[in-house]
Amino acid sequence: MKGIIFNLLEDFIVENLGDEALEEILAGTGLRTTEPFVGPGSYPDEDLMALVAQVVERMGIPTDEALRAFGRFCIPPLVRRFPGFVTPHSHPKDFLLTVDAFHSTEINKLFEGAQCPRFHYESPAPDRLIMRYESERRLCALVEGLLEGVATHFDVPIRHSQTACMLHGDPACVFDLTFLPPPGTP
Amino acid sequence: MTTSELLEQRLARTQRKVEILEALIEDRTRDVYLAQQVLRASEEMFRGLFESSRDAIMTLEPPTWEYTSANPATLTMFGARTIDEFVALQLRQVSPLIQPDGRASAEKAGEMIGHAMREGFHFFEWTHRRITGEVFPTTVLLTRVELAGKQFLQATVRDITESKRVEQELILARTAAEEASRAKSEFLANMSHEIRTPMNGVLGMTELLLDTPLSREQGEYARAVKSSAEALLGVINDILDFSKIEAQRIDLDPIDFHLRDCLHELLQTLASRAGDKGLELAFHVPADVPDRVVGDAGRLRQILVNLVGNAIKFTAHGEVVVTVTKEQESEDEVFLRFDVTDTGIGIPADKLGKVFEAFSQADASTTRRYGGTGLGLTISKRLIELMGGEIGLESEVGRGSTFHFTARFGLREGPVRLSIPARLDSLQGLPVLVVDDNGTNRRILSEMLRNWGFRPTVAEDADRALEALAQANADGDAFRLVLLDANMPGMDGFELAERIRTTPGAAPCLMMMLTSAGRRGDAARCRELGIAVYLTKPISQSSLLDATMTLFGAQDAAGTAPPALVTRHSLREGQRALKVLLAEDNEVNQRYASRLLERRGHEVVVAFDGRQALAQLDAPAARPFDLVLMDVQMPEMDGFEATAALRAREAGSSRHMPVIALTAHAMKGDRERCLAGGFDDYVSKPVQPDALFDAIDRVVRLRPADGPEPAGVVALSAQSRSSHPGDDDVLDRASLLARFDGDGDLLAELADLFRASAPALVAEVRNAAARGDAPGLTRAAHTLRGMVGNFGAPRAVGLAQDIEDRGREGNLADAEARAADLERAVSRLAARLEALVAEVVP
Ligand code: HEM
Repeated sequence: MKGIIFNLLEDFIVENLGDEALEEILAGTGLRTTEPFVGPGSYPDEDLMALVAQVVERMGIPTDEALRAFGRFCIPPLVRRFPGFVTPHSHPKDFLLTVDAFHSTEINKLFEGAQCPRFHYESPAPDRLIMRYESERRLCALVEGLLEGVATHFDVPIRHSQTACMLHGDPACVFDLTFLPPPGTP
Repeated sequence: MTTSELLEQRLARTQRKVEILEALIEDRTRDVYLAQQVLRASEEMFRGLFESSRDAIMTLEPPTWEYTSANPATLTMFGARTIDEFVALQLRQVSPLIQPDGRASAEKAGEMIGHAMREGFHFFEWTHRRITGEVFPTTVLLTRVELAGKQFLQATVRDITESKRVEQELILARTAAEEASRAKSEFLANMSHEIRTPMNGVLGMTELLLDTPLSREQGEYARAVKSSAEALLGVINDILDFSKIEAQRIDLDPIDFHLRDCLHELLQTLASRAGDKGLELAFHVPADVPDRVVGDAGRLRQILVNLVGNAIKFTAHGEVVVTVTKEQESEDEVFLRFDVTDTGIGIPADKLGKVFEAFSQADASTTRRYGGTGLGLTISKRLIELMGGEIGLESEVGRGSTFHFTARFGLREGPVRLSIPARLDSLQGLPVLVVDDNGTNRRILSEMLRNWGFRPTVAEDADRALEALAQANADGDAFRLVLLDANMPGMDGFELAERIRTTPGAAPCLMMMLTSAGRRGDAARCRELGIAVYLTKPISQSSLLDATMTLFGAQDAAGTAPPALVTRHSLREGQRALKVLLAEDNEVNQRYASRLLERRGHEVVVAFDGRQALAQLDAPAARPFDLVLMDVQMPEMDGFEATAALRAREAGSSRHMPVIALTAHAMKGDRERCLAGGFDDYVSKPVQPDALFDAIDRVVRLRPADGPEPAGVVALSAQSRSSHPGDDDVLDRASLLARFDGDGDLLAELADLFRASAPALVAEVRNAAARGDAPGLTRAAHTLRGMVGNFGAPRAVGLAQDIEDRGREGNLADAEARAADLERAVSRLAARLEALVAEVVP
């Protein structure tokens, strides 16, 4: 996983557990990585999951919950850092439909060695989107949090249900999304 | 963890992060820098190509297809100052309204663009227009390009004004060259024709000159002129043919002809050339080759004369053989192959290919050595192609060459076989001995003989021949016919004939001598040796057959006695080259008879009276006379006296000189008188060619004396008489022209002689009449009658005859008046004759 994701997780820890906790976690977790995480670097996925385990332990929440919270946390900084992927779109559906494309092209160029997830889409109705997530990392909870962050960013509520999950033996995780009218619209 | 510890740890981590990032940035910056350099280099390269291209390159963008960029070449080509100026132009501003094919540029451009967008590219010619308005031809390559998801066209335009101009010039140059070549050929054809006309004059006049009395030196010069003129004419004819071929103006002229006769005749004309070099010239046409064919005999002859002539030219020893074989035959066509094989110098392998090219013989030095234009083979090749055949050549240096060609001929009466006379049946199985040192000749002769059902045996020299003869005698199967080659190393044909004749106890056999052309004295030697037939090579199947038939026919008729000499001439033309003594006092008659005889190839010696004739016969000569033509009435000693003297001398010997009387009286009883007077035959004057040659034929072949009446003579005389009264009696034009048989030159020549000598003869008649000299008057009138008789002048002849008859009776009444009448008739004849000559001889 790329360093940017580790940096985001560090920020997430500081935000929720404070500076001291981060230093303690980094010093005491026994990570395989000894050097500090930098954005363009590539680090073992185990280190990420070890840090997530620390968060779970210290916050006293399940891993799913921790990943979902982290996903929600990621969107605003990502949007700030890479507005070009998001600002052309005014509706989350339009944006989400480009996620697969920009991960597999642009993210791969910007972050050398990135192993991006694949998404496949189905659009059964104008207000609906079925997203099929495929990744060996099987981080469907993270996806869920990211989707929530996207809904918040566009201020469009998204009702979602997961109809299939790799953790339960399915070949992919499938999210059935329904875009609700933004609040304040009649 | 204390705050300071916390801060320290974070600071250390941050510093380390900075270090790592700096290192990363440095790496990345270097990568980027290098990547940029590579990018710039390739961009510069492409830009350079774009900028420096001599072709105009521009881009056009949909949907309006306006120019969006252009390279500097575009500006030069279209005459724009800046890219902006060009890019602002509309597509239709850089093309004329209409393209050369008549289509509107705008419409056609749309079509071209559509094509390129569909197919990815499109290449075509297009007429463009510069800003100045000048139009110019170009080629255009439109390529569809896709960049950043956008499609547009790149156009590459090339100005082809120059290449169009070069192409045009090439077309013009080629047309001009073709035109020039055609004009040249035509000029040559015309020129050659123009040259031929005066050349014929040179040749004709030289021939006439050679007929006049000339000193030895003059004769030599005149003959040199003649042979040079002939050579020149040959060259000109070659050029004429060649130019006709070049100008494609040669056509075939097919006629119905006899293949074997045609071959034999043409080879006869070359026989003396071969004979002079001591070469064997032979030809062979197997029995399965049809004889009566349809084709251009003249052109076939030309080809063969060329090939055989070359073969003789390039062969110093050995033989030249022409063989004809049948390749294919159908109901109405036959495909024949002709092989001309020589044992000459041969042609090197690397020169073989060039032989048929114009102006080339094996090499220039050969051409110099042997002469010739070198066009002959080229002409032959073309003629052969016209005849539907091909020419080919095999050769080995030092061994000789074989030129062969094929040609297609029509068949007039379906496949015709050479007919063999039924009389041959009686000769089936005839044992024949062929003696010839030349293997080819032996092969050809024995095959001919075998085809006729004879039994040939061959011998390659005299010794073997004698052995074979002895063996055959011993076996009781003696040869009935022996064919002898006259020229053989060691014992020659004549010697062998002598041996055969004198071999004691040998069975009698007939002998035929085969000699090379033009050897003087052969005929005489043959006669002395009792050889019945002599034939000159090349021997044709038909002449050999004819000679054999004549020989055995004659033998049958006259028992076992060997017949008189049979020669090719007597077989083919009724003549052979004879040495003739002509005793005749009248100059015009002399000239006329000599000319007739010489035209048939005979040698003529003239005597003015009987005494001179006897002296000539006695004089030692390289070649004895074969025949005497004796005018009956001559001064000094007349024909009867002279003949009587001759016969008296011959008495007691086996010699008998044939003598033919020339009589002025075409009367009954003349023949009896002449035969009683020792003559062998007679011809009445004025001499008709056919009558003369028939008589010669009769006496030289010594037909049995009780042969048929010489009807020809009587009939001709009767005819000439009966035609007198109805016609103009001064000059009987029709019979005169018939008599000279179209020989206008001879007529003119004799007319000249007449004009020169007639006044003197007329004066003699007049003087004799005035003197009252009856015998003188008779003789003068007789001479004059003989002369005017040549010209078919009934009135003058009648008047002269009248005076002559009366003079003989001593009747001189009115002699002077009659002489005056005769004089008038003669001068009128002279005038008419002159007019006729002017009319006949242009
Ligand atoms: C501006 C927006 C975004 C940026 C710049 C971004 C960038 C990235 C980067 C750099 C990674 C790390 C990949 C690696 O190291 O192998 C990543 C992973 C991931 N991203 Fe995004 N991302 C964006 C938005 C999203 C959204 C909207 C979703 C989902 C709805 C999403 C789903 C994921 C997931 C699930 C992963 C985890 C890796 C995996 O599952 O294999 N991302 N992203």
